[in-house]
Amino acid sequence: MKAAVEQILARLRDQKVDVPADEVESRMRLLVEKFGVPEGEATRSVVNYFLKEHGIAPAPFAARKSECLKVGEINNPGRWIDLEAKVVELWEPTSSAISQTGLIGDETGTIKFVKWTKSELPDMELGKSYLLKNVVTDEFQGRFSVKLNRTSGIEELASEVEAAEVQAGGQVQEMKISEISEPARWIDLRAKVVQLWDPTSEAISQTGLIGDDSGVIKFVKWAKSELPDLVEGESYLFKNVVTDEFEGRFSVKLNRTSGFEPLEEAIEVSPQEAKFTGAIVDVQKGSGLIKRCPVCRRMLTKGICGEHGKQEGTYDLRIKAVLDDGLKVQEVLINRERTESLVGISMEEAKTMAMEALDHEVVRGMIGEILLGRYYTVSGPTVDRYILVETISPVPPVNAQEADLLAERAEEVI
Amino acid sequence: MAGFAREVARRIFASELRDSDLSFRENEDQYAPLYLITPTGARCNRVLLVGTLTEKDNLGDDVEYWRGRVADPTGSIFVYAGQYQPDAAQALSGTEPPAFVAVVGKPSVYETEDGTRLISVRAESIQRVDADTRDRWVLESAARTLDRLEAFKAFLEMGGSDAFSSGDELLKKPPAPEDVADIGKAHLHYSPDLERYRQMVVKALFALKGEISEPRSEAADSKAERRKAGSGRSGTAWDEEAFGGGPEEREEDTGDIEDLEGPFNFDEDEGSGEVGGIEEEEVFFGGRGKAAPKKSRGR
Repeated sequence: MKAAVEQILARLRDQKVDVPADEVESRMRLLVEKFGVPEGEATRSVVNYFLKEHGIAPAPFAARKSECLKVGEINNPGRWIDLEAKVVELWEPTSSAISQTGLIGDETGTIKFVKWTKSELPDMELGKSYLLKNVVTDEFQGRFSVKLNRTSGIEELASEVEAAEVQAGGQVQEMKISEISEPARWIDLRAKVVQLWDPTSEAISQTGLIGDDSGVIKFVKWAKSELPDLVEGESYLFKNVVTDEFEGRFSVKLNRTSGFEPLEEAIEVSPQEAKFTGAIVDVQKGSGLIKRCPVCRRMLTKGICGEHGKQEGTYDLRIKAVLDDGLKVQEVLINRERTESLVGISMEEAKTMAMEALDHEVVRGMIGEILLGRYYTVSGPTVDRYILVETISPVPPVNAQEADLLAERAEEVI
Repeated sequence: MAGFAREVARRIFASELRDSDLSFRENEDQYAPLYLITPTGARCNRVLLVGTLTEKDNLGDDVEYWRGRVADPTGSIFVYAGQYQPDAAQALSGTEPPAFVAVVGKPSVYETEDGTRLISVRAESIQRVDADTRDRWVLESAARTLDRLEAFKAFLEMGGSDAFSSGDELLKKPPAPEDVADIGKAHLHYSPDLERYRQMVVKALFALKGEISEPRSEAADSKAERRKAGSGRSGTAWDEEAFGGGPEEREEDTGDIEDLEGPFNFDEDEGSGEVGGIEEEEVFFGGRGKAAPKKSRGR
């Protein structure tokens, strides 16, 4: 915001217009914060607003001095720059508003460009180098691009610009789920819809898990994408989906530019097996004897399902626990069968216990007494941030060899 | 808003925890997590302690407010549980010392009027456990402490805080940047004697070896048989060094420290001597009173 205000003030000063910084800032804030206008757009709007107030017609954009940058130096949106670059790729425009789009590059990197139809600029040729004058930078989900509009110019260069190798992340690439390792990458996936969950927000039309032979990942299909519904158990080629990350876990998002087509062949899904050893540091609320909604299986809170209202509910026994090895935490879900054998109590006994105490929480309390502070090794498939526990076993007692090894390490540590 | 990352429960020996008094929030927000940086550079918002509950008291009047002392092979630390930690308070009130307990909680630093900083743990949960669990924790805490010592040593070899401030060296051999920052903080604040913490680990492992080389039949007998481990003498032995050798005396009754001196012996059998050790240590810390100890440096 500060930088934008400075930029505006400088631009106004060029036109001999002096405006207090706080007026510029409040105007910017109004646009950006209250009305959600992108910063680049707001900058332009604010400049024009103040020029107009001072009776100056907006200067032709070409007259504005734009700086000459390298592709690798582009680090914020809404900047007017000159670029010397080579056309590395040309893509099919997705809209008639775009006359050309693709990748341009110099020795510092490559960047997407969009040439608007309205710009009425001549077409560029693949492999040729150009001086692109007065183009504006833009950003979407962490990736930058440059836009060529009416005030931009294109001049072919006599000498060729060396373009850097196209970064893998710069274009859409088909990946395996396990290869997803960074957010904001546009990728294609061949995957099967493993599970559909109830969307937690109206902005989401579908969410759940998709999987391939390398793993599973959460997906979100935005309502705004206006894409048709996916069917659980079906396999699809997902096109141009974008990766996202939250607390170290990845997901893919389907938005307006994404697409999918059904696949003839079914994709084999191998769930990601995980193993974790640590101390149980929490037996969370929702552990023990719970009631589930008979319709959607979700846990009832005080007899009420978030989706289906008041329900009689069916009993279940489960554990939601947190394991911790001092370096990281791992949440685990333990189903009824394994809970019964782990804590040595049947669901019927748990019901009796709860009935006698007039409180379901006694079951969780008892589970806590057995598990808290103890060390276990768990394994099973991972879903979202949980391991669905298939095996759980206490860590064996420390043996002398383990202690000896550490003692040796302690001798050498400093 | 969708969740937040749960803080890891760090493994810090009581002795190191007791030496810690550097706490900070990452930003000004009152809800920002509070972190403690220990002398070896662990950043903790939560800890897991497994040791011996050696004493417990209800300090509250109308509302119960429990304080317990938990000892590991290196020292001991106070653990508090009040009305806002009902499960932990109930567990503490219902556990007769000595007993092995696992405590998950948040370290908190309290500053007395004279500027002395005292550390304790506000328990989230307290649970009775067995000796095997305690042994596993000692091993694990030793390993984590060695990890930190190794990282600290690497940090110093890179040029310590100079490299830290310039950042140049860090780029060449990058451990997780956050860890480096934490070690940098610890280095500036404590200038720790790493050898002392190495010794602490050595002693903990020595104690552990003494434990596990015992015939297991004895151990399996009853929980009572296991009580001796980690409590009393082994705990105080380290305290005595930590405090007797420290540059600042935190307590006025330095005379009592001498009372704690004795052979360093983890295999010591249960007996009156050990109990005596605990009681003397109680004098040493005694009179601190309520959760918010206020004492003046009345020398």
